Parts: sequence; C-alpha cells; structure tokens
Amino acid sequence: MAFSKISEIIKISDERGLPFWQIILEDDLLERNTTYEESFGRMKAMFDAMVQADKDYSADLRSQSGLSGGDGAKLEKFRQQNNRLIGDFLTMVMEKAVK
Amino acid sequence: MNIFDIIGPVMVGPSSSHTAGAVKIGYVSQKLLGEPVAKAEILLYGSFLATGKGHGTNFALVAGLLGMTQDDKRIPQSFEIARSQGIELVFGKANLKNYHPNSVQLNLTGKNGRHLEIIGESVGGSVINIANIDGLSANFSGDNPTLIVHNKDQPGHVAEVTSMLSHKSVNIATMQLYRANRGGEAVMVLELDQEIPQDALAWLSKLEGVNKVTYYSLK
Repeated sequence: MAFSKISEIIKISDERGLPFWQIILEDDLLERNTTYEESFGRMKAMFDAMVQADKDYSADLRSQSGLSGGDGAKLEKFRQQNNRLIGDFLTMVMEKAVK
Repeated sequence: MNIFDIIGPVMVGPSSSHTAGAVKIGYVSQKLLGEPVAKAEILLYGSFLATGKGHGTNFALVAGLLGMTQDDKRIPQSFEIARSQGIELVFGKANLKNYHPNSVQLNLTGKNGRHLEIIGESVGGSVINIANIDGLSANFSGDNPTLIVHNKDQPGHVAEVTSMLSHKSVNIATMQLYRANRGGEAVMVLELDQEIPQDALAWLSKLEGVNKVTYYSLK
C-alpha cells in the first residue's frame, strides 16, 4: 500500500476531487495488479458476507468453548437506552460489528 | 500489504488465527507438496496445541490439506472427508523450541512418494508464515508464487536461478538466502510477481548441486 497516513489519502482525495474509497481502490489496482471489476467485486463480496452475518445472527449462537456469544444482542439492547455517551450511528456500527 | 489484508477474511470461525490461519497453512502445504496427500503427521506447538480443541485447529489444518479455503462450509467435516479419501492422519505434539506460539509442524507424504516437512506459523488475522521447509529456514506468506530451492552452498546457484527467472520474464518481489552451515546445505526463497512455467522448474531441479525444488503456485 502506498500510504502510511490517512492525511496522505485525504490530500489526494481533495486534490483530485475523488472520494476516499476510490483512492484506496486505485491503489489496490496497482498493488495487486488487478482490474476495477475484480477489486470492487471482492469488496462487494466482503460487504455481502457482513450483511449475511447480521441477517443470520442469533443471540443463542455460542463458540465451541461456550465463552463467546450473545454480545451482539447485548449491544442491540444497549442501543435502545437513552443514557448513552455516543450517538445511534456509532452504537449501530458497534452492534453490527460484534454480530 | 493491501486493503484485503486489513478487511477480511471471510471465514468459518471461530478464530482468524487459530482456524482461518490454520486452514491456510494446510492449504499452502499441500500445494507445496505438489501431489495429493497420502499421509499427514500434524504436530501442534504452543497455544495452537493448548487451545486447538476449542478452535477446531485440527479440523482446519486437515481442511486446508484437502484443498479447502477458509470460507468452506465443509471444514467441520474435514476428518470424515479425509478418511473417505483414504488419507492417513496422525496427530501429536511438536518437538519445537522458540517458535511462534501458533505453530504447527506438518510431515507430509504424497501419493507418489514425495516427502515434505513444513513448519507454519499463524501470525494473526489469517496471515501465515511458512517458517521452515525440510529443516531449513524459509519465510513467506503464500500470497505470491514462491520458489524454494535447496542446494549445496557453493558459488553459481543463485545466478542459475535468477538468470532462469530473467529469461522467463518473471519478476522477483522478495528474495532470501539462508544456509545451515558454510559449504553445507543452503536455501533460496523467492517470492515472485509471475508464475514460473513447469519446464523451467523441471530444468532447475536437474541442475548439479540443486537438491530440491519446491514451488508454491497461486493457480
């Protein structure tokens, strides 16, 4: 990857008037010597997997040891509380990430 | 490093290092063997050994040896599938010192009699490192086509390999040289931007002073 700081990406994004994600995609095309379709398609497959994980989530799912599981449901409940320090968007991101 | 090292992997869990990384080690190892696996001795070390049961590490390693990738839903059935293919599996504890806590030694025998001993490390986020092949250091992740040449430590062999690659227009991304002792056994590990044609590999393995050629292909 050609970047070592976020500020480098933002600078290029501002200079060229292109969105942040497109700068990353262009770098990926060079780094892995691939096509726009392959890179975008691969990222889309990741996103689809994340959406599917959220759809298939069950609060009852546990790991083999029984130690992991159920935290996504806890965050979903937390999201309904009013006394949170952070807003709904960030809470949702946390909830979906853990699910 | 690329963006897909940061985002991902899509895997059958539970652990990206103990499960997905283990699948990858198995997968790279069977490709390095270059023929179907007839027998695999799987020796775990460190935290792989201690926590392997909960993480399904043995299932994951066998799945990789069967050619499955980390998102294959058949990973939990890998033992049955191996048995149905007549593959002999032996599990045990590795006799290693000072290796990465997530290490495994795989002693493989192929259907055509080829032997290979590999030590693989799972370093996190499904990234792996092949640390040792047949007792000699290596050091590659399996993200690029990789050529490993075991040869006698004497002048000329590096030039033979690099001029062959130049002749076939294969670019070298990284190159490492190790030796067991001066004048003894030496190894070259080259990660490449392009694949090496089969005829070039055959030519290389017949050279005087070249003991073994192992190749990891992305195809």
